Amino acid sequence: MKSSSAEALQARLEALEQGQSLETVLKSHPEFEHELLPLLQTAEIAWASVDEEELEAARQRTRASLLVHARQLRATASAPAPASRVGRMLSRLSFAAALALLLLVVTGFGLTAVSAQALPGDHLYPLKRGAEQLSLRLSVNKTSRLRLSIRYEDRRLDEVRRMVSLGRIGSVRFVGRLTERSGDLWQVEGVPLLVSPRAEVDEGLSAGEFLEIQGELQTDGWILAHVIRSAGYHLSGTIERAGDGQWRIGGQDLVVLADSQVEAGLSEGDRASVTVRLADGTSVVSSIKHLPAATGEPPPPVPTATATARPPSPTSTPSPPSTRQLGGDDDQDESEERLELVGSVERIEPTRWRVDGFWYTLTEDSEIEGEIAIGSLVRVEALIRGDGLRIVEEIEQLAPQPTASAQMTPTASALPTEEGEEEADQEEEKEEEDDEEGEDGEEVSFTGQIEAMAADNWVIGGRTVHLTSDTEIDDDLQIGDEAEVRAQRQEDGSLLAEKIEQDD
Amino acid sequence: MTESDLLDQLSALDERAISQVHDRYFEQVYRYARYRLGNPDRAEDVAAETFLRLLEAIQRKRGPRRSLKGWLMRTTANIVNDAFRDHYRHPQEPLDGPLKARGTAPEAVSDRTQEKEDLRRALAALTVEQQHVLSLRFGAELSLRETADIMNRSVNAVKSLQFRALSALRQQLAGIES
Repeated sequence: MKSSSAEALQARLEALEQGQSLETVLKSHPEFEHELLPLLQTAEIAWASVDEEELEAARQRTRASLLVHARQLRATASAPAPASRVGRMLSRLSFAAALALLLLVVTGFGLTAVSAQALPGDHLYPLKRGAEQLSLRLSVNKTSRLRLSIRYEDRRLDEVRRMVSLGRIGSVRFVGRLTERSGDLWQVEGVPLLVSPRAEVDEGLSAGEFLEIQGELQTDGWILAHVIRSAGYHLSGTIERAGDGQWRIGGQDLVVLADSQVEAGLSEGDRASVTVRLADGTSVVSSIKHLPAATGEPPPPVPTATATARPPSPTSTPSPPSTRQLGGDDDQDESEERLELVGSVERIEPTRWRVDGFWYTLTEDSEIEGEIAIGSLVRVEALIRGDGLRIVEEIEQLAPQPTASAQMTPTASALPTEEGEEEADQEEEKEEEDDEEGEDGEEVSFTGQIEAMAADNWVIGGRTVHLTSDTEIDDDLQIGDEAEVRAQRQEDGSLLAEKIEQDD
Repeated sequence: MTESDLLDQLSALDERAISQVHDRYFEQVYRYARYRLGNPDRAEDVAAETFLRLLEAIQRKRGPRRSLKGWLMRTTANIVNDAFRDHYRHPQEPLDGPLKARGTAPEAVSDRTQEKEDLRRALAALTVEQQHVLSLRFGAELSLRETADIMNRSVNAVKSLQFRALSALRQQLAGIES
């Protein structure tokens, strides 16, 4: 497609929009008739007409409902706020807690029916948190208080998961176990994190450890983490005392609750590997497992997925990660859960894919059906292991595959992304687009971050480039590296990579 | 009143400002949603949701900072994309309008209605980006410059995309007709 064709099409469209007939438009430039006539005929069909009555009726209805909603927002916002920050925190707590108590007495329902489903940002969410604070204050027994504290922390994680699935945005703070870590891409019990370059991150965090995360949930389902702190630790040692609710392991006193997972058969004198979470300043056991005597260190609960340095050859299938292989249904662990969902493919890596914000790990048994690319709508069947890892059983393409010219990651600038984007960055990207838009057969050069490395399709700087056996690729390129690409634009607008090298 | 003044008054939940913003941009938002979804009820729901999100975003200090129209059209596109995603998750819930596909008695469906239905089916088979540019240009009837601003692309890039999108639409329509 030559740029002059696109220009000519636009000029003819403008003429049609101004009311000229198709015949008149084509008569003025008969040389384009063959190429443009079908497109202009399509454009005539494509132009929408909406019934004016329908439009006006819809306008009035939506305006009315919007004004009602605005009044509700005004009513919620009109409660007076105290001057000091501490005062605001206290009064918010006490007001919500008092209201919770009132509701409890008056309605008898308790707050679960009213605000249990509220999420951060919802009007009833402060009420929900107030009820939790009230419960904690009313709990005189330390063990009960610890259990409640952990339960409410687990709720924060569930809220974040729901917010991700609903496409909500906002500040989040939650605790969960680190299940995967690859560069600045982490996963905490199924919640994907992107670690901000300026994030405060505790040293020495390891897989399986409990972390406290503070960040901003983005519209693409990722959390941009600003703070990652340890909220627990691993411990191995000899069980010195195994009392009711209180154990001493490796010299550490630990609280064991009813929810703590304790491997059967453990007794004093055994060596054990313990995952501890900190709750209310107390070390609480999350799990205790038997540690073989010969092993010095506990095995990591979850291996870290890493991208390979070079892409697999076009005919090879993704290599399995260094996890144990799943068997058939008979071998399914009781702690595993089967799930099925539909979503868009966001990233493709050799050993894992990201679909709707969640990473799915591929094994030798994983079946991939269809010519799936980034942006494809797929159905995923997977097993969620006890450690939160999602193992793909099958990924099946649903919606038609995007054409090569339109393949992009959902976060690329061309697709509608979050509401209210960083417009300064957009201007910069626009300039790059202007520089690089070329005609068929023309050489295109650009630089960008490597976002995906599938067999013969890489995504670099939001653009998909196709690789062939003739493509020259620098050794050791990995996802996340900055790369310089030289490619040839094809007739359909796709890019055929001639060379991909490290951008110095 | 300038857009900046309107946004200030929106944050104060001023009813006059709310009505003004709604009336100024409703038609384009509604036309876009109607174009992609083909169903007036769903289009109305999407339009209503778009403006609700605007109010809530402004309250949370996350509203548009520059182009209100761009923000509204991008939000509308996101909601429509979510609707399509939900449709695939729950295929028993119909996404499209009351129009029937081919096979309905000819006297019940006019030629123009059938043409529109074919168009909607053909549009749904395009990529999200192609649907987006056609919906902005032909559905919401935005200019090339407006479309470029909303899509965050250069005018030349939008011209090329428009060309490819129309070509793809043409192919899909030809496939449906055959």
